[in-house]
Amino acid sequence: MDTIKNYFRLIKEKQLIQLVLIFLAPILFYLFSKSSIIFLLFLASLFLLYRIRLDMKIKGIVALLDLLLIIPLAGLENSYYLGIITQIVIYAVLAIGLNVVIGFAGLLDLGYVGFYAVGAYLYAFFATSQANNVIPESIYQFPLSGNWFWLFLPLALIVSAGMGVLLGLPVLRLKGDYLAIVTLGFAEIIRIILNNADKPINLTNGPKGLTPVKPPEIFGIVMNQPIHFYFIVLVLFVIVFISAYRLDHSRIGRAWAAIREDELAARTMGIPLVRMKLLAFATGAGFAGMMGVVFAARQTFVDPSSFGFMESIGILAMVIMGGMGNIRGVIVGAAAVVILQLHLLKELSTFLTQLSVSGILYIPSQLDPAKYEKLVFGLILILMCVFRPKGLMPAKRTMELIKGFRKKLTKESLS
Amino acid sequence: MSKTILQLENVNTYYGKIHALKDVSFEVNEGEIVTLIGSNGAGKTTTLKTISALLKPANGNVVYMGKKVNGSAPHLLTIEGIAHVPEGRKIFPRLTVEENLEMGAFSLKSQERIKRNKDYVFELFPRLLERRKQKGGTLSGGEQQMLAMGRGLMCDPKIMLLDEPSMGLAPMMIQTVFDIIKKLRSEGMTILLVEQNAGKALKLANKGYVLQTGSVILSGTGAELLKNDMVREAYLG
Ligand SMILES: Nc1ncnc2c1ncn2[C@@H]1O[C@H](COP(=O)(O)OP(=O)(O)OP(=O)(O)O)[C@@H](O)[C@H]1O
Ligand SMILES: [Mg+2]
Repeated sequence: MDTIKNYFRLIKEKQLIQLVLIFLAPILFYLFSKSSIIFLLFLASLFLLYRIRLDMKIKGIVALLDLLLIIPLAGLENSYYLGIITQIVIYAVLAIGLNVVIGFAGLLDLGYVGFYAVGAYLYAFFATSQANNVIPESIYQFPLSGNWFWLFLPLALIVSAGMGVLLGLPVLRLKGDYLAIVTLGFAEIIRIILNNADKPINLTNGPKGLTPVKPPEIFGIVMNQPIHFYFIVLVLFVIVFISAYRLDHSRIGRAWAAIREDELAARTMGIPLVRMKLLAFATGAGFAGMMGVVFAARQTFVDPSSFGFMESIGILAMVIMGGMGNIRGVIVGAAAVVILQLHLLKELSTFLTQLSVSGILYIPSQLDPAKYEKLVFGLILILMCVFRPKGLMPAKRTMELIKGFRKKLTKESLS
Repeated sequence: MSKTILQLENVNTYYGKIHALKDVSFEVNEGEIVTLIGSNGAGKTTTLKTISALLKPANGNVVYMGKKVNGSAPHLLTIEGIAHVPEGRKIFPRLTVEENLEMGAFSLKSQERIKRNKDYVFELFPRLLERRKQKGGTLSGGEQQMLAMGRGLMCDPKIMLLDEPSMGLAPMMIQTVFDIIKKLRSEGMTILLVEQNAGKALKLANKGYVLQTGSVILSGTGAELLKNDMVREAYLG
């Protein structure tokens, strides 16, 4: 009896700590917006906020305060962390898109970044003077103004989705891993075209890339500050999150689930296989294309090297790490990967260099952790496969299946 | 004479070079149970898959309700009223019983009709109602078969293709399955039944066809085939 009481007290204490963290971390982050530890603490508190059992209203209010007040205010102080958060949100959107393809429809797409490139170059082409290489200046003097940015978001979505359909139509009829190979090839072809389409007509400016890309503009305000992009990206995130969520819970989402479970059975149910796969593939491509526009506008510079194979793998890692099929898990995956890439490894290597400089510990520059990003990545993915094969936050169905099987096994071993 | 709902005319189906169906012809009349019997590898599953357009015949015709449908797509035929309950049940293990049933109604748009069909299935299989929230993969073999048949019924079919519904079931459960099939016929359903359990199937069937290495070698009413020496020797042993 006593142990039970103790147990309950423990739970309450744990909850109390979590509650304190949820409310305290944002304030600390606002006050000490330069501290790396507090930044991580703040992100952890956001994650906790989602997990903790609390009144939905309170949760919502705290989340809104965090996202709309604390982050922007702290960002005005220190735009470095705002940049990282923006990056996390961008990759979260990309990962949600890829998750529709991989997690929902079960299609392995290794060339996701190809569509990202299409969107980025589509906007960059018209939002620099590059378009004048095709359309004479007498007709229109490019670049387009930043007001066009808003139109290019849906436009890139449609164009990329259309390319997804064209690419998917022949391939999705085939079985097995053809899609992985074809998409891999597709992304490489896109990158090589971007690299080489500077002659005979200079379309992409080759390896030098396109710059300066016009930043977005609204009501005469030029949106070129980190804080602007944070809000743009946040709005897109909300749109994409809701779309993906609604798709997952619709008739179409159920059809995807059925296809994932058993293709033959799905077909005997009258689910049009190719059409459903195509839809998932094009949806993912569209989201990527749309984010490409944001990428181009935010960097004000695009070149082919941003769209390499490693980029696709990075997004894939987010989806796998977070838990395939689970939108929220995928967001956590995106956060984890971005922080690791942009923040932790960098911090670690500056720390080690400092040690070397002050002579406490000599570390040869070959061992600089920042250079071992891919190795660390690979290790993490391997560890994930061994210890958390369903990701950090597996989709509910996966979890329940595992539980169901365990129950069945214990039942069988008992009888 | 009742109307012919499904007719195969000299159908040939290949898997690559393997000639799996050789000039198969037969017909199914409305409201009948027609059974297809034959040993392992005779081509029974291939026949059903060819009918539901999962496989495309190299030549010959599949005629459904007076229309040639070979080369059509499975999802179109589901809309037209052909329900294929595949061999090995193939229920969706991670979806609940209810979600499985809803998948069966994928071709229907009207929520009202889906609801009505679901009620009908639950009435037919009260066991499924008890377990509506349970994952398909955790059902027993017999319950899974009920679910597979129930799921097939969800699309308002005119004809059901049942591929070995009694496979791997205990005698009691086999009887239940056959009772259900009989009941469905009494309510006007047409059924093409593939069975290894030839005795039970022929007893129930209006008509039967015997398939051997891809060809129809014998046909007749259920009672005739039951009396046939060859059938008795090969399939009723
Ligand atoms: N996907 C396939 N590829 C190649 N050959 C196949 C394929 N499926 C079936 N076959 C062959 O076609 C023939 C008929 O198979 P089918 O599955 O129709 O038999 P069946 O009568 O349903 O047998 P069973 O009673 O064992 O289910 C067999 O010789 C089988 O080996
Ligand atoms: Mg078979």
